[in-house]
Amino acid sequence: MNRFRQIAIAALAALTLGMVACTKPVTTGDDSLYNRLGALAGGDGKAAITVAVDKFLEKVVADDRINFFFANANVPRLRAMLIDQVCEVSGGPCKYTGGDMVTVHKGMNITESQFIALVEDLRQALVEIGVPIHEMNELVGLLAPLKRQITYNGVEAG
Amino acid sequence: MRPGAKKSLLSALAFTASLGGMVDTASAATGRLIVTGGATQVEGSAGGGIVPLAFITGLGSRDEIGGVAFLSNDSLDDHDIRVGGFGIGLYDRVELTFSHINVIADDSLAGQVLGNTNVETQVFGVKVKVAGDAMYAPDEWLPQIAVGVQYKHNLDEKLMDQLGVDDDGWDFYVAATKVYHGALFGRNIFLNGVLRATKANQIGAFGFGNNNASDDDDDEYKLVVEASAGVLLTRKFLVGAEYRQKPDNELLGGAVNEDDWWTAFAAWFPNKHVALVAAYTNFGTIGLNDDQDGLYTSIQVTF
Repeated sequence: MNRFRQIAIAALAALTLGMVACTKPVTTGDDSLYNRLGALAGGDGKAAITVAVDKFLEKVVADDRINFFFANANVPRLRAMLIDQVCEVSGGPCKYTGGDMVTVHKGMNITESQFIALVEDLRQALVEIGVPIHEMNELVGLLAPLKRQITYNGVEAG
Repeated sequence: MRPGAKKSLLSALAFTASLGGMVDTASAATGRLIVTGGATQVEGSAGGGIVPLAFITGLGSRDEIGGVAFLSNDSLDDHDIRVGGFGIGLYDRVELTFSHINVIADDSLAGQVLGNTNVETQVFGVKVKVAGDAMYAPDEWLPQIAVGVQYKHNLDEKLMDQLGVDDDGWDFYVAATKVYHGALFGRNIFLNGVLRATKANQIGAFGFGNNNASDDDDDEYKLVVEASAGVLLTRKFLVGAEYRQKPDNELLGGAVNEDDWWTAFAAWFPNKHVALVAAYTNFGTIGLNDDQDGLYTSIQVTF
C-alpha cells in the first residue's frame, strides 16, 4: 500500500503546483474570459454578457429572499451598469462608470445570506444559458471579492 | 461488512433521509453556499473523513446558527469503525461538536487476545475561525484559518490498563483552507493543511501517550501534519484525498504499532441538507493486524 500513498502524495504535490500556476484567470488577450464567453454567442462578448445579465435579473426579481432590494431600483440603469462591470472584469473593452461597490450599497445592510442568494441566482442563470462550468467558476471567482464591499455596508466582521 | 452492520447502516440511511425531508420544510440556517460546510470527520469537526477543515460546521452565515448530524461506517479487514455525532455552528465563527466512536474489533487479533471487542471513545470539539475567508477572497493569498481543541475520553478502562495508557487527552490543531476558483481544468478546488499536537494512539481508541515508554517522547505531545485536497467536478460532486500523519508511541514495548492514514473520497451534496460520502480508506496497522483498508460511507444532515 506504500505505492498508493506515494501516488496520493504525488497527486497532492501536483495539485499544489497546478494551483500556483492557475490561480489568476486569464483576463486579457485572445484567451480572455470575455472572448471565451463571446465564443458562446457568435464571437460577441458583449452580447453573451447581456444575455447572462438579463437572465440573472430575471432570477433576482423572482427571488423573494432579495427582490425587495430592487423594488425601487432604476432597472435599465442597473442592467447597463452590470453589463459594463462584468464586461470589464472579464477583460472586455468596456469601462464601468458607476460608483464603487461600497458606496452604491451603503445603507442597504446586505447580509451574507442575501449576497449568497444573489450568487446562487447568478450561477443558476449561467447554467440555464449554457455557460460551461469553467467560465462560470472563473466569473464567480472574479466577483467573489466584492462580497467584502457589498455586505454589511462594507464593514468587515471583527 | 457484517449483515448486522449493513442493516443498521440501512436504517440509519432511512432515518437520515426522512430527517432531511423534515428540515427541508422547517426553517433552516443555510445562508452559505452548498458544499462550503464540508462533511464531518471522524472526531466530529467539519472536514472530510479523517482531516478537519477550517470551515465552521453547517451552512449558517454570519447571522445564523446552523448544525449537522452525521453517521459514518468504515468496514476494514478486521475492524469496523462506526461513528455518530452532531455539531453546531455559531455565526460562521464557532463550532461545537460531539462524536461517539465505536471501534469494533471482534475479528482482530488484539480483540481476541485482550478480549476487547468494542472500544468506545467520545470526542468533544471546539473550533474557532480566526482569519481569512476560504471562498470569497481569491484576490488574497491568505487562507481561512481556524484553531481547534478536541477533548477525547476513552470509555474502555480495562483496555487502557492493559495498554498502559491514559484514558483521556486533548488534541490542539490549526487548520488552513482555501478555495481556488476555476483553478484546475476550470474546476474549483480546495487545499487544506492541518498541524496537530496530540498524544492520542489511533485517535484515542488506544488511549493517550504511553506510561511504560522506554523513550520519554512516546508519552509526550507529538506534532503531526494532515492535508486534504479536492476538486469540485460539478457544483454538487466533489472528489479528493486526505492524508493524516500519526504518532507511533510504541505501545506494549513496540508490539502495537500505528501507521499514517489516508483516504480517497467522493462526496455528493444533492441539496443543502444532505451530504453523502464514500471513500477508500487505508489505515495501515491497527493493533496487531496490518493492512487495514476498506470502504467508508458517511451520511450527514445539515439544518
